[in-house]
Amino acid sequence: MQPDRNAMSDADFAAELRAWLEAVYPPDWRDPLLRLRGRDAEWWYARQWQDGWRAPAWPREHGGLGLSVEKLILYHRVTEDFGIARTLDHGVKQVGPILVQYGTEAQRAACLRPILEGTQTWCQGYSEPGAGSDLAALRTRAEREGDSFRVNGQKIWTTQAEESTHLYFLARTSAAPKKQMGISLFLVRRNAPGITVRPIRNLLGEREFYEVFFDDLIVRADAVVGAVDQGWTVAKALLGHERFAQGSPALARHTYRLLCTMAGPLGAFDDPAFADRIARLGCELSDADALYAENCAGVASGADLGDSLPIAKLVAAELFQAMAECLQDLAAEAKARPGCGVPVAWIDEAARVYLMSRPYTIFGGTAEVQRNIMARSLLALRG
Amino acid sequence: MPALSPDDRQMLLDSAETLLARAHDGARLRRLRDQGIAFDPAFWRLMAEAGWMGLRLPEAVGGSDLGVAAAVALAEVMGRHAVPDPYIAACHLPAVLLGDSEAAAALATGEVGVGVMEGEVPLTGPSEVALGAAVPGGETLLLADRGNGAEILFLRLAITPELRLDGGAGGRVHVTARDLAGAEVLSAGPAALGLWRRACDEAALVTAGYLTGLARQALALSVEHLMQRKQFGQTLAQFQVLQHRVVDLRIGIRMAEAALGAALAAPADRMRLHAAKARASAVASATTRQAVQLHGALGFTDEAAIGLYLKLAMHHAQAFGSEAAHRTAHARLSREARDAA
Repeated sequence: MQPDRNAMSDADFAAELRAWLEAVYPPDWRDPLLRLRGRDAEWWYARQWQDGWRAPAWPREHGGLGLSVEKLILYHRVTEDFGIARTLDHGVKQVGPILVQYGTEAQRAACLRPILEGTQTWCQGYSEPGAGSDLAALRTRAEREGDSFRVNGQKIWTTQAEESTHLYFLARTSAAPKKQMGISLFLVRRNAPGITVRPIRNLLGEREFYEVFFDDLIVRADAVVGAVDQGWTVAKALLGHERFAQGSPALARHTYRLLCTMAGPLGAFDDPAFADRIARLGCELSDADALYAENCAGVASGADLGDSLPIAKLVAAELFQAMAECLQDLAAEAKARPGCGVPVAWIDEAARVYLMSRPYTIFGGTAEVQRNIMARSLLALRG
Repeated sequence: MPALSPDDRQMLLDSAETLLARAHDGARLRRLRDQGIAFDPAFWRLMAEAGWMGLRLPEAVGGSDLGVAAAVALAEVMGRHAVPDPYIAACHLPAVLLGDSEAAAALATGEVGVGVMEGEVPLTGPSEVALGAAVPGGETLLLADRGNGAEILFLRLAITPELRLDGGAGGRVHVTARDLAGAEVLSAGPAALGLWRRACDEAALVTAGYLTGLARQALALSVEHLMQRKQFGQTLAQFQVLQHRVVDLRIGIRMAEAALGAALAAPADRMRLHAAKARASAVASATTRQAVQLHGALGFTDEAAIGLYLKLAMHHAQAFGSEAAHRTAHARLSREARDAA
């Protein structure tokens, strides 16, 4: 059982979390643009668990920290300010909450504790070659055969598939008049016979996402989460109050700091064009911070946030990109002026940030699809 | 200064909605404009009767001392209804400057408005000066330096009213050496400069409220139009390019609301204030420009309401500091903070 910290004052809570990070977190990993994977990620999950800082949003009866919304917001703020690396951690972020809400006792027993300990790691099989933004168009089929399902099909954009021990995925279990119906959510071991994965190299040169192929994969019926054919609803079950974190402009802020650091030796603040561009970005960041803070407060008080959460997410992603673009332009300036005092490593970092920022308006629903969704309610459109 | 409770706020908003729905519309705005009326004493008295003139004044001089949050809330409703009267320039701004003086008491009753010099640089001699409003009695506040440091001066001058093409009201005065010599001194020294700046900051924040309310209504009018108007066999709302434009305007307005809220929550944080006014000016300008575009040719007619919003956005986007001015000020403070760290 991890400690209950809800009764602590905010200041004590933040101080304890910060002190723990200072003590155990590897300094090399203090980079919010870094994403841990493989053994590094597993080490970090295990460490969180040993020291009683794992799964902040999970209920305490399921082994999490069970933090109140206020403390959860603070947890995110402290870890962001510290600059910890990102982790995929689909076990804590997705599978756990889904099982808490829809899982059977047996499923919870098999998964929750190992997820907490960091020995069971999950990757996600949702998108398919023909089902990206239009996820409900997925065609992977799971056909009932007695106590089991036979699965055939293909997934794509599955992040960190190779090193994950488990996979959760969506497949079509019956033909239904509406495409969101007739889909089920399955849990399976990643190394089960019938699953093969193939890496896809991304623009950064990393092999972080994968294609996943199902060839006569046999999954037992008790590996379905929730009711058969209800997978669409089940997959959307997230601990709703943690969704606010997606609107955090942390990466934009990090990049803004890089910008200001690089602007110094270049004297960019004295160049009217750059100065104005950086001024604009500074104001944008200030407003994105304001919206995020308002959303956090709104989540804490249970207010109806309307479209504020999707707006914050969109703004944070697009602002991160705008910052990265400005940083890349500063890097060009630095390259053109050898001896200006900007280390070459910073120039490489600018290129990395620029590339890294690209998918933020793509994954989890493209910026365009999100605008479609928002337009539906603004303009009272059907669909 | 008491905090504005949600109930008080709602009451204020409801009464403002009721009064403006009854006493103000586009026809009134066009009439004032066509007759060249820069200041409408009858409407001014109506606002005073509703208690709006005393919102920012101490109770000792007949005000209700509800503070800047109340004024911002009220200004949002005024923006929504496209009210052209110089409430911020001729009431809120002078109220901050006048404090509990005799002139403040007259301001609370709605007997007078007060014209205030535009800008934050002290006048050093006789000059032609632009005012934010032309008030009938000529009550005027100036920031001047007559050789002994900054002073806030109160005097009566003959104001030439100016109705600008953007629908905003203003005025002009010729300040002579004799005017300067004979003026009443309201405040002197560093305190005067500080007070003047604080008043201008507050006026900028209230104006950000006005612009935010105005932008919300301009978007609402556009959405209504897109849902009704049919071309190529479908409503304009069915076109994805227009849907995304509307979403982007909505995002801007939401950011303006958040920036305004953050500025109100941290009154001492000038960076928040600059961000809020920069954002509100940018958003109201962009929203009204796009709104005219979304209305098509109709949007360029005087008859359609949307043009009134465009013009008032032009006026208020510049009032008490443009987007560029506030953005630059934000960057300066941000750099000072970085250098200090």
